[in-house]
Amino acid sequence: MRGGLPPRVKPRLTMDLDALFNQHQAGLLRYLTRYTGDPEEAADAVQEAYLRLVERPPERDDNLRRWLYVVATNVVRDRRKKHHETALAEGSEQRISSDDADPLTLLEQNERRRAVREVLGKLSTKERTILLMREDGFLHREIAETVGTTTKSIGTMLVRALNKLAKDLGEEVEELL
Amino acid sequence: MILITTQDEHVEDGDLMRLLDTECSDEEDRMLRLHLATCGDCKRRHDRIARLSHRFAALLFELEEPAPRKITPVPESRKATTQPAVKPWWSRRVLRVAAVVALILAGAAAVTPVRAWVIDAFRSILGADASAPPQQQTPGSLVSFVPSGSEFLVEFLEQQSTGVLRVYVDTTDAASARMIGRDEGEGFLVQSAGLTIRNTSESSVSYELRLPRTCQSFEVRIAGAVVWRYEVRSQAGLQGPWEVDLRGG
Repeated sequence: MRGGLPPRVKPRLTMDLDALFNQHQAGLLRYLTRYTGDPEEAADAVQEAYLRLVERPPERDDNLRRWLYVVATNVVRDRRKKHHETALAEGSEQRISSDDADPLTLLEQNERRRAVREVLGKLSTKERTILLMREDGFLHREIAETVGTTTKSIGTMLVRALNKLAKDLGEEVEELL
Repeated sequence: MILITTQDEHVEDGDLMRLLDTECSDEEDRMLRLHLATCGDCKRRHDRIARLSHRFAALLFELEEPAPRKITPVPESRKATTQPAVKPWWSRRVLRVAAVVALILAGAAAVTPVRAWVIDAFRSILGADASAPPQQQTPGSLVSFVPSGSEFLVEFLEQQSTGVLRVYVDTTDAASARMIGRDEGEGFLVQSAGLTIRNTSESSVSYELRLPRTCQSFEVRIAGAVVWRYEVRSQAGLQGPWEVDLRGG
């Protein structure tokens, strides 16, 4: 057996960055907008995740999509910790100008968005992460690796999170639908 | 592995969710469905979880909005600040080469394990990873395109053993589709009227479809039979989301 110090090989990205960006950017932005409630903050985190991919790529690139989601989520968490923020952002309301065809529709849209953010904001960060990653099509195994739990427990955690929404916020949920 | 031995036993919520997400093995899937067919309590809980899941997806749909600005993989501003002037003194090429030579000399005189490390460090400094074979890019299962007409047709060649088609409506002009779950080789075929999904009866993956709101009608066919049809009835355009069972029921 060959002993000695571990090799120090700098990981390199073998995928085309543009292709990777085109493939995952929209989904990642959607996930982060739902996670943060703020499209601007979400866009910043997407940008930062791709920068980290270029500057410090992972050692293995067999699941870069999950890697991007984990990094981007951590970016948001770190920034919020730094600013002592835990709740969902108020989000950006779509401005209503004279050019808009139906200001009433926009007002309603903004009101519904605000209500949905409130609903999501009542979940813990872990509950929010597992529900949103599931909506983005991640396998239970991938979600489990991200939040640091067993694959088997993800199903139970998902149901608990959905029940929490239904129990605590039942009326609001019904109103929204 | 889920074990249900008597009718008095019930399925746990977590396993019902695994069933919904097509996370169960074929054997588990068969056992659970068999149990649900005869246990009203579990069936009610299963349907409730499915309903909650559906409602949650509908809630998220409310948050859909366009990106606030154009995002690029590496913005020009960051390129300018990170690339040229900020390199530390030891990263200069001459010094790196000198370091490599010193390492080689030291390594040549060293005992075997250290020599092995020196060789690896040498490769690392030059950025050459000779031990790792080149990797092929895995074909993506995402397809994105702009539909040519206002009617959108999704056609599955066969009924599946399990799986669902989740349909969302976006504010963009493009339609996109992707697989969720185990990739078993199914393929998307973009047609002028929509999308054909080349699946088989053994397939168990689910799919997510995003449609532009500009579509006026949306239809799903499985093995030639229309199983879902929606037509726009108001000015708001196509609404969603929907979930279509791919077993054709």
